[in-house]
Order: sequence, then structure tokens, then C-alpha cells
Amino acid sequence: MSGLELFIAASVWASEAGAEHATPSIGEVVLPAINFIIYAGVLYYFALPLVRSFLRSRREQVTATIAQASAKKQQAEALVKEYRAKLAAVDQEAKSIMASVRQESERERAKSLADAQAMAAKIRDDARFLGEREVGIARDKIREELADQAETIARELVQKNLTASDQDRLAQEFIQQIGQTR
Amino acid sequence: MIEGRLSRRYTRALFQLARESGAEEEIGLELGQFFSAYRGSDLEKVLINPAFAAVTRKEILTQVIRSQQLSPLTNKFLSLLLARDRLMELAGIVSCYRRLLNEAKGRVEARVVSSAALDASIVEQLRERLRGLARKEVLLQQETDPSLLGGLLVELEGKVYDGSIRSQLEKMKQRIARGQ
Repeated sequence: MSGLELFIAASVWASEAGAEHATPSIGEVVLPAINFIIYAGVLYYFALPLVRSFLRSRREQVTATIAQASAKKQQAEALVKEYRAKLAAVDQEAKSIMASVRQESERERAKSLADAQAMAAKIRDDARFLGEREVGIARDKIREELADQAETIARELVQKNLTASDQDRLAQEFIQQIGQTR
Repeated sequence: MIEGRLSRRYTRALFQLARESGAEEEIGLELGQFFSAYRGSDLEKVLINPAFAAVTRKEILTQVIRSQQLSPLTNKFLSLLLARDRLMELAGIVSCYRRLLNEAKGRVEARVVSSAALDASIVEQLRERLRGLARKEVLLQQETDPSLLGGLLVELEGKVYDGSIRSQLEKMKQRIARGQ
């Protein structure tokens, strides 16, 4: 609002008030107006720049704050994006690890199975070998016992039945064999 | 009997002297006779024991030789062995002497073992067979060993021919034990 408009408004108010009561003197109108103008001038020249400066500063501050907030928002969005990407990568890595662990587990299982089968085969072979060995030992022992018994029986039969003429015949046969086998 | 070099050396010397006097058979018999009485007896223990004085041992040997009426050559030979502490070699010397004598006479010793005494005709058959094999006269020494059960075991020139029932039973036993 300019000073002229203020002056007109004051004149209108003064004329309306004078119509009802008495016409004010110039002093009563002009002095307050001058006073007001001075006051407005003082306000305009001293306070307004401060207010403007304050508002400009405030606006710049708000703008800067907004800019900072926007930057932070962008950073946050970038961070979110990055972490989402990382999360996706983590998922992939987790899947890869899981797959690797699964493969390793399969390998271990297969290896354990093979080892167990090999060990079972070895135990079977050892058991078979030991069994055969035991059987062999028992067979040899039985044969030895049979041989001992056979020899004993044969010895007894010879002692019981060999006559002097048998002895002479054996001796003569052997004498002939000495010449042939030499 | 294993004949050592030392016993062979002594035996050759004795045998040479015996042959020169034509008494190799007699000396051989005397050596065998003395050795039979000497081997494993108290006489051996005394004669090889240095705890007894040499003079004492010599006197004992002289008495034994006199009692056995051994020839001067045998007497001197045994005295020499005693003087040189070589009586330990006597077994080898007797064996070597017998071998040298047999070689010189063209004969060989054989041994036959049977479970019982053999009939004279069997012994003669065996002697003839061995003479044919060795192409030498055979001096057959007979022994009995009931553990043979039957058959014969003959030893000729270091070879053993075992035709005893005992060895056949042993072979049979081994065959059965091997599962053959």
C-alpha cells in the first residue's frame, strides 16, 4: 500500500467522521499522516531491508534445506537401490552357497557311500579269507589226524601180520630195486 | 665221522708206515679194537684230561696197550697222540684209516639195517648187489632196528637206500596229510 492510498483513506475516514460531528483541523489530519509517513518511511528504509534480508536468508535456508533434503533423499534412494541390489546379490549368493553346499553334501555322501561300500567289501573279503583260512587249518588238522590214525593202524597191522617170509620177500624185492633205481 | 685235516695227516703217516711193514690190516684192526674200548669210557676221560699228569696218563696208556697186546707201531702211534694231546682226533683217524685201507684193498664199506636179523642168503644177495653197484668188494656191516618194522635200510658210499616199512608208512602219512 502506497502513502497516497493511506492519505486518501485517512481523508475519507476524516470526512465521514466530520459529517457526523465537527470538521477536524489540518493539524489533526496532517500531523498523524506525516507521523505515519515517517513511521512508514522508517519502516520502509530500516526494517523492510532487514525483513527482506531475513526472508531471503530464510528462503535460501529453506531452499538449501530442501536441496539438502532432496540430495539426502536421492542418496537414501541410491542407498536403498544399492542395498536392494546387494540384497538381490545376497539372495543369489545364498542360492549359490546353498547349491555349493548341496553339491558338496552330495559329493560327501557319495564318497561316504563309496568308502562304506569299499570297507564292507574289505570286511567281506577279510571274513572270507579268515573263514577259508580257518577251514584250511581245520582241514589240515583233520588230514593230519587222519594221517596219524592211518599210520598207527597200518603200523599195528604190519606188526601184527608181517611174517618172517614177508620180511624176506620185502628184503629181496628191495635188493632188486636198489640195482634198478641207482 | 667227519675227518679233519689233522686226523688225515696223522692217518696217512700211520697208514704209510703200516703198508711198509705189510701190516695195514693188522694195524687197522688194532686201532678199531682200541677205539672200541676207548670211546666214551673212563679211559678217554682220563687220557684227555690235563688235570692228570702226563707221566700218569702215559703209564695208563702203556698198561692198556700192553693188556690189549697191540703192535709196536700202534703203541708208538697212540703214545704220540697222547704226547701231542691229539687223542681227541682218534675217531677221525680210525675212520680215515678204514677208508684208506678199503681204498687200498679195493673194497668199500656198507651198512644194512633191518628190523630183525637177516637170513644169510639175503645178506649174500645184498652183498652181491652192492658189489655190482660199487664195483668193489663190499664190507657189509649189519645192524638191527625194530622200529624199521620191515624192509631194509642200506647205506653205501655215503648214499642211503631206504626200503623200510617205517619210511613207507611215513610217506603214506605225508601224502594223506597233503590230501593227495
